[in-house]
Amino acid sequence: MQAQPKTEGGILFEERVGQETSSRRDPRKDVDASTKPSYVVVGVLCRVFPPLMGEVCECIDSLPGMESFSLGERGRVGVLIEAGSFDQAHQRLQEELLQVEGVQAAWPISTQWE
Amino acid sequence: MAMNRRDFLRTSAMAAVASVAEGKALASSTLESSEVTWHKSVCRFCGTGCGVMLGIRDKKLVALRGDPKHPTTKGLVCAKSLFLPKIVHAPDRLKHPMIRKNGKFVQASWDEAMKLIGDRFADSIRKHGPDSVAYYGSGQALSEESYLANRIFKGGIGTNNVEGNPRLCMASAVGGYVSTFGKDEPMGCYDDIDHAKVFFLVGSNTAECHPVIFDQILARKEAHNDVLVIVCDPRKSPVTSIADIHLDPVPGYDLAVFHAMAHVIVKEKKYDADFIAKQCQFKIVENGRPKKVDFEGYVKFLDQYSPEQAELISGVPAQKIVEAARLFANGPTMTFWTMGLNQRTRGVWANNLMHNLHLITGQIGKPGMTPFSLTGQPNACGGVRDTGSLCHILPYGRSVKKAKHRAEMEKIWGAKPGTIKPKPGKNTIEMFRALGRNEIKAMLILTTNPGQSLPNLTPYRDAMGKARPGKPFIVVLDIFPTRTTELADVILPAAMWSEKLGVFGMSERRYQYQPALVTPPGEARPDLEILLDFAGLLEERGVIPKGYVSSKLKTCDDVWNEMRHASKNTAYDFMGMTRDRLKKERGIRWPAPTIDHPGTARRFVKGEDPILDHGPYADDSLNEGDIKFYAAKDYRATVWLRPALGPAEPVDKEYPYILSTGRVLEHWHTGTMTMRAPELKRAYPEAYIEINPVDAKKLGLRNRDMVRITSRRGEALIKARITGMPRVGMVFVPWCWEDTNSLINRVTIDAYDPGSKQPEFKICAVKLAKA
Ligand code: SF4
Repeated sequence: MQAQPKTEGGILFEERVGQETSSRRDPRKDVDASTKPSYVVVGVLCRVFPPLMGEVCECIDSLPGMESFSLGERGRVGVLIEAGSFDQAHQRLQEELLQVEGVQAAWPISTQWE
Repeated sequence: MAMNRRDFLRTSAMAAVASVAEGKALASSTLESSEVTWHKSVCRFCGTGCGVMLGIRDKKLVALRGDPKHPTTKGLVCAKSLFLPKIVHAPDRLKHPMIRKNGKFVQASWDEAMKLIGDRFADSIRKHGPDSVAYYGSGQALSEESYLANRIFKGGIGTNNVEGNPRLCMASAVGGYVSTFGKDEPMGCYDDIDHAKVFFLVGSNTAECHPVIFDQILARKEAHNDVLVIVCDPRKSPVTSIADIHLDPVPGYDLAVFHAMAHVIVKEKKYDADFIAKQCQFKIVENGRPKKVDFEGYVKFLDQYSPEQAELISGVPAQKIVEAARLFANGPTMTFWTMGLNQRTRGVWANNLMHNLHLITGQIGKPGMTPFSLTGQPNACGGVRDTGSLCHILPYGRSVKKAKHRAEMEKIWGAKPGTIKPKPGKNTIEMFRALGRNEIKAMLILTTNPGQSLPNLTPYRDAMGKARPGKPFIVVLDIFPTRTTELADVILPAAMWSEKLGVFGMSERRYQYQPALVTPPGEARPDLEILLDFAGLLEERGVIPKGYVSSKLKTCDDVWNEMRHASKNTAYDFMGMTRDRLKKERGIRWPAPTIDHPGTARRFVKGEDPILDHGPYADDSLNEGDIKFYAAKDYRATVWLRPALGPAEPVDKEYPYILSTGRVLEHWHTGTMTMRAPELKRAYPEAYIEINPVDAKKLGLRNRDMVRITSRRGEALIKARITGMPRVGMVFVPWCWEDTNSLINRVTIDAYDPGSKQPEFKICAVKLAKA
């Protein structure tokens, strides 16, 4: 089994090739403020199995940070995800919204943050 | 105050969703805030080319939403695009040029790095000739970038050693279109989805790789009970969940299935005799030369591929093949395919057989009826294929082998006559082999990661990075550290996506403009500016003629204008796509020869395709709706009689499993960008190999056991995921992980299609053992 590659200063190097980097900066110190929001809101268009529309909306509304809204159309529903970070918003999308029985697809149409 | 602001953001998000659902533009009063300005742009991941709107405040990206005014993607975007702004601002972006000194990377000034590059390239060209240098580009580079690099190398330096990663993903599709229709690129468009009643999805995990296209198919199927889906894939991907018929051939043996479908169509007289008589010819290759045969000859050829025979070859039940053939013939049918057909040693042939089915049933050039190859990258089509940035082609359908085409491009470029060589350069695999032999002495790699993405990776990583006497000089332009930058001699930090302007050309021939909206980090610069400087340095050193680039091209807009002129009077003619138009409109589909032409939905159709009205291919004898394959020999598309041969490396006793590679929804290609979003990384934190439960039982494997995957070329160590998704005897590994143990391309095979030179990533023989 070969050794795992090391990362240093953001540049990978592989021992087998015998190359390395002298970049000692910690690039993570350079984080742009715009990538660290304290509030993220995602507007999601959900495709829903039509016979389960009612149950799906009820279930979404019971989830923290999520709220459904009607689009006046069978088979589609809007969902608002509010979160404290991108991380949390994505987690809610993937691990909660998409797991609701009857949700066939979820399209994160709009994302804003501050 | 904060509450008001948040209420505003909530209302905006809801209005954006409602507008997409209703297919209406957003009312500006609802959404516009004085602080945020919205700008039309395009997602830079897959070839779906979703239109997006970017919100900018204080020169920073603060919002992204789907663009409901976009004519084909209509406001939808998938989770990958949601993270684009975050990826742009990721902390480990490359910010300064770096030069390797005594084995270590040290920060350098642009002047020092560029001078070194100019000296090393010029030195190599002077001492060893133009073919001692090479360019390896990308379907992610902007069209202007690929065009300019091609211009510098082919028309300036005088080498055809110009390649790009579309060789690894789209070359067989190009070969299929060109050998069947005479010119590359699809004739249909995404609008056809709204008219098709049968979707034939072949070797395409559309749900994960082109999710917005998949949603449109799903929506159509849900709205119409008579819309049916046939899926042909040896692996049960999420696409199979909507399949009415699932054909699951043993990987590499599907050509027999396609011929058998044609067999059924012919035997049951479901073919379109009139279309065949007017528009088709039939050819077989004998003794290395194409030979014409007649329809009866084709029928006779198909006799060997009855559904029962195809079942024996492919493992697909004969009855399913019969049902699929009947559905296909009923139509209107739209066929989508991707890497499952292209990444094969029989890739061009597999593409030909898709076209065969459409041609014999006359399902082409009409709404809802088209063969359509989907692209994985945002600009494989517009950037590399159309600009001719591969070793054998020149811009806009021209070939290096044709003297007339070389002369045309030399004139447009202002190159000395005879500069463009008539012999194709080295294709990707041969280029990296030549690098390993130190024959190529300097290589420029732009916006791609061959240190992870090439098949049979180990010798090619050594070729790029192993210290040795005469080791070639490697320059890499990229936005992040990758498995390729670690092998470079010089790393140049590039601007990405919304930091630079230019054009992306997506799968349906639509060219879309992307504006520069934010400043690149550190000293990163747009690739085009770097290429202009590179050309200037070569001019100064006398290895390309003085003023060849510098006297004509100073900006990205200059390059675009020259490109438009290079397309004039070709089958691609987009003279009418001025920058101003592209800035205003949501992309335009070529051909669009005049400023008032709206763009072309379907090629080869009189009344739709302007190429049939003006210029060298014009034909006034046609009636509205008539089809003419104007680029094909004798104006007839070719139905090819291709033998149903198997893969380059069939399984055997020693290597009894078939390895196939592919993608997952959250990650894109080598993960260079998507792995920068921790949320996406967490969705698939570590590599996995899908193994069918039947095989797992035989091997004594359980979920999460570490598996050693060994081929004749190398090995990888990856955790098992026991699932019924791959068929028995087949395993599947996504290729997005970069740690050494998970580099699955150390295992894959570099055998390539003799026509398209595209490697067979999808099939190689491996053995498996619990590690
Ligand atoms: S489908 Fe492709 S182009 Fe559209 S948002 Fe997703 S990755 Fe981007």
